Amino acid sequence: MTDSNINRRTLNDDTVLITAGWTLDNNNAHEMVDAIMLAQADGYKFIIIDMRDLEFLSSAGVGAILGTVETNREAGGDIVLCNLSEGVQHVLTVLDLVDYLTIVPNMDVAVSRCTAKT
Amino acid sequence: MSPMPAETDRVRDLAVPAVLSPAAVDAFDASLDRLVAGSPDEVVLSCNLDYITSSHIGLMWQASRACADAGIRLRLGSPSAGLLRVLHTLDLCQFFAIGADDPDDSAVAPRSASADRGDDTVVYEHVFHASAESVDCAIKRFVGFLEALGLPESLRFELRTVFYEVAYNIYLHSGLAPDADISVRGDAAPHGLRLTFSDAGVPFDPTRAHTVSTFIDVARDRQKRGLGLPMLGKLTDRMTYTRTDQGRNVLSLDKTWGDSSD
Repeated sequence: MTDSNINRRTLNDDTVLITAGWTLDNNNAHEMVDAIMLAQADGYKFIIIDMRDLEFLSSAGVGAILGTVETNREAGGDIVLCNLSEGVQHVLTVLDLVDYLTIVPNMDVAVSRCTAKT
Repeated sequence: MSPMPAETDRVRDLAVPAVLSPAAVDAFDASLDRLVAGSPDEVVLSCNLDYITSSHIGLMWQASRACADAGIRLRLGSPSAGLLRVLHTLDLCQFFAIGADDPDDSAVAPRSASADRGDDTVVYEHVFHASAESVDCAIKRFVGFLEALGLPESLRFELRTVFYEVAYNIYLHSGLAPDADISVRGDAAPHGLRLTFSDAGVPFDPTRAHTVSTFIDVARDRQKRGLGLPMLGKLTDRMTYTRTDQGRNVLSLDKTWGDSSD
């Protein structure tokens, strides 16, 4: 029943879009880490993670993002999170991460944020 | 009270088990899945219970949600006076059609769960196995309990995360066999919840283990794993641990909140 599909789509030479499934937890966080690290290895400076379907984010999911974001930033890029649910946004707030992570409301803002930094 | 209809292809019966052993609950889950897959017009939930616990209510809520999601009418068959009192006390009557024959009765569909809880503590109890499937079912059932309490989404998300992190930590690290029991009790008061997990796994005191300074430091260290316990520390107000003389880990987690009724 778990839809843990993590999909990747190239947006431009610098930016790749990764779409999360409806959970990011112990069962599939390693897939997210693999997808992010593969995009980094392929030279993408910016990774947009679309969380529109994400209903649950465990500590493993948080770790997948936290443990990889500095690599993009050192390369002059970033990992940008968009379309967060109220619950996901709330947990990241409780963890004091909303100012550290780049969180934007939607895809359009995410793309323009990446373009502006290019 | 309407008599229970004879079971047909369009009207199917489902009984809430009186004794909630893991096997009985698993059988209920399987029966519910089969019924919903058959897309009957109506499911009659039989609730001939001499006593009612929050876990029984959780099963009823689970059936209500599954049927509502599938567009199936759900009706309580032969609810006892005690059950009706419990539903009334919890302000849950609106979520169940009770003995009605009007197919247009929309009471079957869960609406916004804004139960106006009184000052009484509501107790949630459940025993599940140390297997991934059983843990997932336990989380699903606990989420139903949280929805029945009428808590805001953000708070439900926090409490679901707390349950998930503890349950998965026990499942993954306790050394328990897949058929070993993990018990959980929730004491929900109007402005707080105490969750108590008990298991007979290897001794482990999580209150002595969460030593991460900040999550930003975690990012700078590129740490991808081991964030469950520090996350629990952030999401709860207090954690207490004891190892009983009977060889069980007992972990209690307290979460308090402001008035959620406004």
